[in-house]
Amino acid sequence: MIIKIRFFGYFEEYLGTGINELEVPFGCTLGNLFYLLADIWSDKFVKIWDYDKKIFITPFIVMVDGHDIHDLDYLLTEGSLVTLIPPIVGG
Amino acid sequence: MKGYWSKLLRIDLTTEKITNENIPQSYFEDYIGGSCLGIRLIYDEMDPSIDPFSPEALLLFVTGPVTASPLGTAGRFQVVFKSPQTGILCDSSSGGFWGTELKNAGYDVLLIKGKANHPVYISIFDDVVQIRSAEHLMGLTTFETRDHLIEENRNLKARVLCIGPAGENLTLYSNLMNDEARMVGRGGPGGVMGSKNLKAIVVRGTRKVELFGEEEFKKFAIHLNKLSATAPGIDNLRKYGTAEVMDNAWPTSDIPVKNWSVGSYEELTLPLGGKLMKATMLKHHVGCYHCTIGCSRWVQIREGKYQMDAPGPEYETLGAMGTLCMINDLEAVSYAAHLCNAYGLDTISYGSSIAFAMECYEKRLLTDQETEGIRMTWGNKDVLVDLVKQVAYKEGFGKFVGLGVKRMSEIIKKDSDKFAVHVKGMEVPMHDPRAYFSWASNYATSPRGACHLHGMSAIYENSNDPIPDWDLKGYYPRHSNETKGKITRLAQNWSHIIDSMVVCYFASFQMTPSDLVNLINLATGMNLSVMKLCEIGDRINALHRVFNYRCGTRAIDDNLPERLLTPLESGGAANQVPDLDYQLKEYYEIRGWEKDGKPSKSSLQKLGLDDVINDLYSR
Ligand code: SF4
Repeated sequence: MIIKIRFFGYFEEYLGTGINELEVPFGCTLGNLFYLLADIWSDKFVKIWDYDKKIFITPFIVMVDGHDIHDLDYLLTEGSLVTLIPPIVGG
Repeated sequence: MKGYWSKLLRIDLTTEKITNENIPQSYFEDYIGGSCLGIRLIYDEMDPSIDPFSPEALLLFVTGPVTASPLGTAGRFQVVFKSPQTGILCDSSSGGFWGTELKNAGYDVLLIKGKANHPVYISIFDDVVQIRSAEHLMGLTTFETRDHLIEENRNLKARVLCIGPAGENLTLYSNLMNDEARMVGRGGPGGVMGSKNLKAIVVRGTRKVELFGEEEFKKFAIHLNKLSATAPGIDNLRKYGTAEVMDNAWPTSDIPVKNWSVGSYEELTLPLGGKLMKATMLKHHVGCYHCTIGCSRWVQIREGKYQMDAPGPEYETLGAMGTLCMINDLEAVSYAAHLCNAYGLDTISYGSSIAFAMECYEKRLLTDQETEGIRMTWGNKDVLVDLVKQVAYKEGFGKFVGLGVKRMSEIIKKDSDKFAVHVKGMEVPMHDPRAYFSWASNYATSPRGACHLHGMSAIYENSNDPIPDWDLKGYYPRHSNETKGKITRLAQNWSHIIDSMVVCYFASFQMTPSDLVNLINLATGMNLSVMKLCEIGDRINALHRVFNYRCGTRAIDDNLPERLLTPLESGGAANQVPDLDYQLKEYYEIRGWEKDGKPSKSSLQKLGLDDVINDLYSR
């Protein structure tokens, strides 16, 4: 199935891309997606995502279809939009 | 003690007496410097009931132990005063180079009292301190004043801090400008300076304070500077400035829209973002003293009616004067913001007041007659530009807008307080408590009224083990109330410490409490621990609170306007509302505040503030 993923802030700069379409297997969870991203952007993604502890090293908000999701077992569905947002900076 | 001159320069403008005084070492040990030291000094000397515009009111400029050191961003300084806008004690920070010069001139603190009998400015060239006539500067904008004084003093290295016409006219949210549009923005310090007939302070210093572990400090500072220069999040700040928030924070609805009534959306925010600014008008980015981040912008608009070649707007400005008013024309907002800088107005309060007036106009609580024919419609960018001068000079409808949201609402009445977005008279900064719940207790209890810089609590949400050094471990999603009272306390303490050192918040993102302790100890020779540092944060928070309590602040004032506790219907914070009472209960318990909002005797004793107990409990 195809899902969409949108990066914000330095993540977007870092990975050099804004919105991506990604083909993932049916039954793909949020956790599975992060492993997939780690494979695609290996050296860069591991600076942000701790592969072993399964946590973001830097603070991040993960939204799926506009809602915050904290559960790595959250099931993605066809057309899901996953959004990764770094913490706010600015004053 | 190293890292300080232990010198306070006192200038009484009434008597024209200029004196040098020693600052007791214990004050540095207990309060470090910057805001914290300034608050202690004001507490000692100023009766809280004094009118902020009276000659008796004090105005303090305070540096810290790392000011003018090799540490990046250490050119900042703090200004401490009783705010005419809120009626409570306010401390406000600014960057640039002015603070460095004050420190290098040989002073930790500049204390100003009294009122000159004609307009004056102060010049400080090391030991040579003079009060000089400023008759010829009256009415000049901040930029004109600065240029004039640099030329007049024939010293290109001198730095100028000044007020614009808004400060001269005692507009409630008038500010101070130093260097190239570095603003001491909040709480109305411009009017306090104006009330003293003081137009500007020129300073140049050629000395260097000795640090305790000079070499080690330098090595450590360079290490931290490099961290700031290379951190991925910071890189964006350098590239796009704080305007990057417009590009990136809209999905969470942290950006307020239409006087805080609508969730943020990209069609409105991206046209105000850092990317567009970079692509269309950025000339170069600008940094303060020794800063490896350089978050500020210099922009140029070559054509059309908004032509300018000047410092560009920050995120807070773009929010208050842009999305809050439904204006997403970057050129118009940049130009209006430039006018605010020139006339000396705080852009957050100005934009918020315009947005509030627009909603009143829409609801017919303000008529065309009352606005003197100005159509205060959403998105009207002409209003944004045209009213700056009127507010600064207290003319026409601008006189009313210059009162700020709280006072405007008190005059309009008719339930307008429900959408008058302020806390204790301070307009709320551009981050929404419905997006990050910790903003709720943070804004409600912030010592100077709603403030995101007295505790950037939201950065500890959605983060794993946010401050382990201060025992803040775990993970706290933004839309939960759990531990938000504790987060608020620690975020506020963090800000008290960095405002005492004095360093920039953005540089402190890369630092831990251990780093801060290291810097202070290496600079001064003190032997602080990370927990002691937290205790100093608690102490200054308590002292600030005691002063405010004596000004009349009570628990009922630790509140948010109804608008911020009403769910948004759309966006990334839809249907979410923080539980303020729940957060405040936790916060009050941790701080040791009583039901009416006053710090308990035992909490004050624990912090070594026995001397202030009588002030509070004998009343
Ligand atoms: S990060 Fe920005 S505000 Fe802070 S010191 Fe550097 S240039 Fe100044």
